[in-house]
Amino acid sequence: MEIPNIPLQQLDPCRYQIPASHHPGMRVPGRIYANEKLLKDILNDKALEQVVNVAFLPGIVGQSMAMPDMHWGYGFPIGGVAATDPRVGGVISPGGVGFDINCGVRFLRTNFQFKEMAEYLRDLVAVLFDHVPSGMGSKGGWRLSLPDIKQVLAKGAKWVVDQGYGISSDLEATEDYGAISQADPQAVSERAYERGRSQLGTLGSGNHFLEVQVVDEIFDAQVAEELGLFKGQVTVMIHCGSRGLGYQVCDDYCHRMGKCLEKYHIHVPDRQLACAPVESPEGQEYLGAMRGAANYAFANRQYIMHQVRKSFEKIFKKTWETMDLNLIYDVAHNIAKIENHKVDGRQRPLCVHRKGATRAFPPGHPELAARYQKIGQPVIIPGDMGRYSYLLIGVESAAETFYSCCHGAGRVMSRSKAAKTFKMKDILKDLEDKGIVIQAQSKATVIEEASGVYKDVSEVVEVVAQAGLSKKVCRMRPVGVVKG
Amino acid sequence: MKAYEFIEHTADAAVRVYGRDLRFLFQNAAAAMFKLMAKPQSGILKSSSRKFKIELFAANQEELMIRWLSELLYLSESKKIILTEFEIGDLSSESLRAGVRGTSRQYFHLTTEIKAVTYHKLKIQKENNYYAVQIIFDV
Repeated sequence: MEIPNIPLQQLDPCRYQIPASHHPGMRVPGRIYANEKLLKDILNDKALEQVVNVAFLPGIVGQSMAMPDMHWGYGFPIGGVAATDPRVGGVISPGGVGFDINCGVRFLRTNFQFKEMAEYLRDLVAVLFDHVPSGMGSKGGWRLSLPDIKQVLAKGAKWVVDQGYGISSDLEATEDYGAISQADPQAVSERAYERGRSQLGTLGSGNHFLEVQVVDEIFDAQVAEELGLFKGQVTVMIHCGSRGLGYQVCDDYCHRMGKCLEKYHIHVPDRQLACAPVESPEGQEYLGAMRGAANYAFANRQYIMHQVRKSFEKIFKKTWETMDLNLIYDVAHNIAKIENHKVDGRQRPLCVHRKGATRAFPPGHPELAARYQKIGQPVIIPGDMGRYSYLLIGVESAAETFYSCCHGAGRVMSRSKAAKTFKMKDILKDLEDKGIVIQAQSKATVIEEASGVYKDVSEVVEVVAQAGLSKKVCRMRPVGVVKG
Repeated sequence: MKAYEFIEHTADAAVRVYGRDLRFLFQNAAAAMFKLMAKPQSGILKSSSRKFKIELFAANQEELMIRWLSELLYLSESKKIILTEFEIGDLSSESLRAGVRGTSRQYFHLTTEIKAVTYHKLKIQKENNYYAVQIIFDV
């Protein structure tokens, strides 16, 4: 459905509204979080149209929202957030989660000052590149049996910890304690298992990465101290998802949900928004399968973290515990969750879709582990390989987005244009000038992931902070990058 | 008439495929997808290629295109091969039978990981004396 001339009403410097009166199919308004500068890029693609389309979803509550890193995706825009109420026939849509189910980010600290280990950086990046399989077609550390991979889907990161690759406190520092409950391994197809069986422990390619970083600036000293973070500190960030298993789950259910539109008399303007009522058999099966794929991704990042710890041990000849390579937090940014939220004064369980958006629970939220009760949930926002990443913290004022926040920078340039615009030697020179060591499987990936293809994540983070969706804690700059 | 051309897309990969009839359209779409995925290195032995038969059903032609490409993607990943030859046997608006041939990935330089074929604005159109379709791949 083409929707020309979408009206945007500015509410304040960071909020714009698309009135529900814009189209008779919209059940709720659209809400865009952006400033004037970011809006220029947003208006260049069809993401606003997708915000309007999402407002058609049966049972949608509040608004169809998009974060400042938004750009167009499949069904939902990337950066899209929408909650539906299952008790009034609210739907769940695979297009509101994405193909890479639980693509997410994990953030670790160390007790190194960068200057203490700078001379080892190149060797460290080489060992990380060696220990963490990346790139297209890479295989993981082990090939799982069918019973084992089903256990991974049921138990998530805990399964990896139980094998000896981590400690129980890693799970407290992971969203949903490393496994969303009520996953249904039976709802996952044989094909998905076949794709996932040899990929546990792999990074993938494209915008996935492993980064060694340095804390460059502290914005909230109190929260930083609580989390054991300090200026000049070496940290590590891991960005990847559920690999081929997740892609296949989404593909299977996109196909299946297509038939649900007629069955449940649902009209959506975009086939990629195919959905089913959460409480229908199809909705429940997708929810169960999606949870399983999400748990696979948590397990994947847990195992990769283990490999990171081993890499540090190899270079520095000390245990990872001595180097305080502890997990700050792990977040999902392609997911749908059943969460309790206050709507019209009452707590209701809602199905919250976050497609390229991150959960950001405030202090005191019952789902957070004890160590985060006072400060709130850490929110990890990766930037591009030449620029900053951020750590934010959840705040109460984000209730309007069901405690959701941005997830990264968002692309502004296509891969083909990047290939015509950037030269490898210039990118490498730019990284070298910034003191960044890189190892990548593919030259094409390095070019396609150059800084200039992304929005400035600092701009995105300023908007979410100004809008009260989260608070800045610290900023990190990359010093070592591993890409597929 | 060219078989396909890659077009601009901000976040992913898009291709516009052409065919003088639907059979060619489906074959060219497959060729385009694998062109995106891999480049051949030298030294591929024809005798090392393997043949597979495919039979699919779908509600309509567009769904059939998605099922076709998704099936090839799955085959490529599960068998660790890159498919290079596509021959559509029977084709209707709701079913397809084909033979495809592929070679081990070790003989290729892998360039782009395709996560999935999307439904986004996929519409098979007849334009004068040829067929065309735009396909977006999530990469």
